[in-house]
Amino acid sequence: MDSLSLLLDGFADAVTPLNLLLALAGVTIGTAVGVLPGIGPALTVALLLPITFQLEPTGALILFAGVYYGGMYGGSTTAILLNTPGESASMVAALEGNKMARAGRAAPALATAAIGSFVAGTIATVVLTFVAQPFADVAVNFTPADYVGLMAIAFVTVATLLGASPLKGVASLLIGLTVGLVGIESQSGQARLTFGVPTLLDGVDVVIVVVALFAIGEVFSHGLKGGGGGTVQPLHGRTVMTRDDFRRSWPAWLRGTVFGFPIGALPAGGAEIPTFLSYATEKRLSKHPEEFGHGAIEGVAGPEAANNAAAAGVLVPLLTIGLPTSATAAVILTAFQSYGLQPGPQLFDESGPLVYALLASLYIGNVMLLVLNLPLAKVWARLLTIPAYAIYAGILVFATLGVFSSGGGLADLLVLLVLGLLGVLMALAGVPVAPAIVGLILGPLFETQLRRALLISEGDVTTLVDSPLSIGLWIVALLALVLPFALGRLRGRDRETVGASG
Amino acid sequence: MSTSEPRATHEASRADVVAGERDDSREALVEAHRAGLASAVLGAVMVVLGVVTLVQAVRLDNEDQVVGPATAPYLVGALTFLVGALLVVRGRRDATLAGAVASSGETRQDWLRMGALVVVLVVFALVVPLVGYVVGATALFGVTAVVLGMPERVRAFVVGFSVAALVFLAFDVGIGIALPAGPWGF
Repeated sequence: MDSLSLLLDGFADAVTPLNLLLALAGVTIGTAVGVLPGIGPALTVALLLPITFQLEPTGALILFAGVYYGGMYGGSTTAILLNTPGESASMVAALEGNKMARAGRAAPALATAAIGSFVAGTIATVVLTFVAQPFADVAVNFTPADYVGLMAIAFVTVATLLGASPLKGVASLLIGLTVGLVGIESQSGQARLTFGVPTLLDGVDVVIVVVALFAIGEVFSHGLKGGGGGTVQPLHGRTVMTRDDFRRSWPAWLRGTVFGFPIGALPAGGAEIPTFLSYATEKRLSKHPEEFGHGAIEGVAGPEAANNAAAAGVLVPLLTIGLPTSATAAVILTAFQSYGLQPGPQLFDESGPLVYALLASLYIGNVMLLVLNLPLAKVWARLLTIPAYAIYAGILVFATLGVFSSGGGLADLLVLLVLGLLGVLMALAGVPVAPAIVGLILGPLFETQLRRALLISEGDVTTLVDSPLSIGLWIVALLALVLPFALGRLRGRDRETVGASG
Repeated sequence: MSTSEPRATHEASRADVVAGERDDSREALVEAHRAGLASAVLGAVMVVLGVVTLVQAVRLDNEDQVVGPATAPYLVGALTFLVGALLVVRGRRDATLAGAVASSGETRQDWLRMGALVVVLVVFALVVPLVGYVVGATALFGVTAVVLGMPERVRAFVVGFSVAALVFLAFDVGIGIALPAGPWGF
């Protein structure tokens, strides 16, 4: 098998002492930021981007992938013990997990989350290894017009499927797209939205936008909401499961993986959807449906597995067609770009060893994470006892660090502040940040592909719907745009009738 | 223990999951009111942003291309304007729906606290080139922690100094990212 031998070469690259150390650092930092409320993997990878100046690409990407996977493990710890999921994808696990913790069953909840994450993450990584190359082989034949259609789907789904309200998701996407317009337009050299400010000519640095919207928005709205944290549930005993817990967990892990990977691998946003699907499925199939809402272990096992499988799935469109469908994936894409690498079908030909070293590091990272999260669960739980004011003050220090490390000065700090205030409004309004980050990074790529497509067709717009594939893609994009609004309206009407009759 | 009643859920829809943990309904209303108001303000900001982008688009030369430098600003500007307007309408509606019950969300103190954080950040930006990163970040951490309610004020600055020094060692000395150095070199 070709992929297999490439993967073995990848392992050889990934087990050098430096790369192992970087993987360990990545998963440790990732778990920590996943546990701490207010910081997530997207922000952390953004803050670590300057490290690309110091490391060769393989090492840096291994580090970032570790943070990405680690964040998923850490997020569930917070969801279970604190009930304020750090990652939106851990929202569902908080439902049953926190109930279990309140009933004194925090240990099995954490165990099923960690082992489930490991099982799902490993299965998904195996699948990822073997579907990536075939996928890239198909993607080689995509025309610029097809890319335009694919990106349209990504835009629409990221906006409408993340967060609670499609309108707010679209608003977030547009904010990101607007910020992405800032700077010199590459083809004509005309400045867009720079207002004569020199620092804006190069565009707004991704780090600054991520820091402003994630960190500053978070800290300031925390200040406005008047501080205070949740109640941390104590963790007694070792994180082990009884035989019964295990018997109830493993089918849920596998089903969660089956939901998570394919949906995550679609070139569309919405890695949270599989967690909802998994929860609903476990509830329907459970022999103990009465336990749901009071701490059913399947309700933790399934969604957590789905969450991690989806995280691996997201790497499929990222690596094979260069399409990020989550905030962290978008920031990792910029890491590739800072090395002059463009993820996409060519990546496998041009930088095959890099890709397979990265994939190998994911296997290693998953094992490290299992070790980090099972015996050391208490250590991570202790992180939650850090008072909120210290965490938020620390976030602010790291936020400003991000600006300096991206080479910014005073003017950039002011840009940070302005965007930060926008971030506060978004946080208060319940507008998700991820669509903005995806829009910021995908917007310019979309423009490039669109112009490339029209250059080939000599300005004929019908080229965008020329092939059956592109027609299909646009239909999907249109449906993804219209359906959430239509369903929302239907559901709203439903609720009103229920309210009127009740 | 006030565990919520088993809700009559047919399926775990997103709304159920979101609403599932809102035990305190008054707090939820305050939250909804605030989110509504913030949405309306954000919508207004987006309307302005949309207009600015459209004005920019008019000023760009599209060089007789179907899709030129001005196309994206036209498109994004128009959509931003439109969605901003929708958000204003929606936010106002949400706020009035929730506002009947919950009159006041934030107190004056909450706004002061946030204002203080803005000022802290601006002052930090101005002062750092003069005093260097470590001193600046120590002050930033200390003041922020105290504003957010850390009781031991001296400790706030001690912890702040440790964080700042560690960051400086890791990033400036370790990774080699030049952080602003004060007159004393750190």
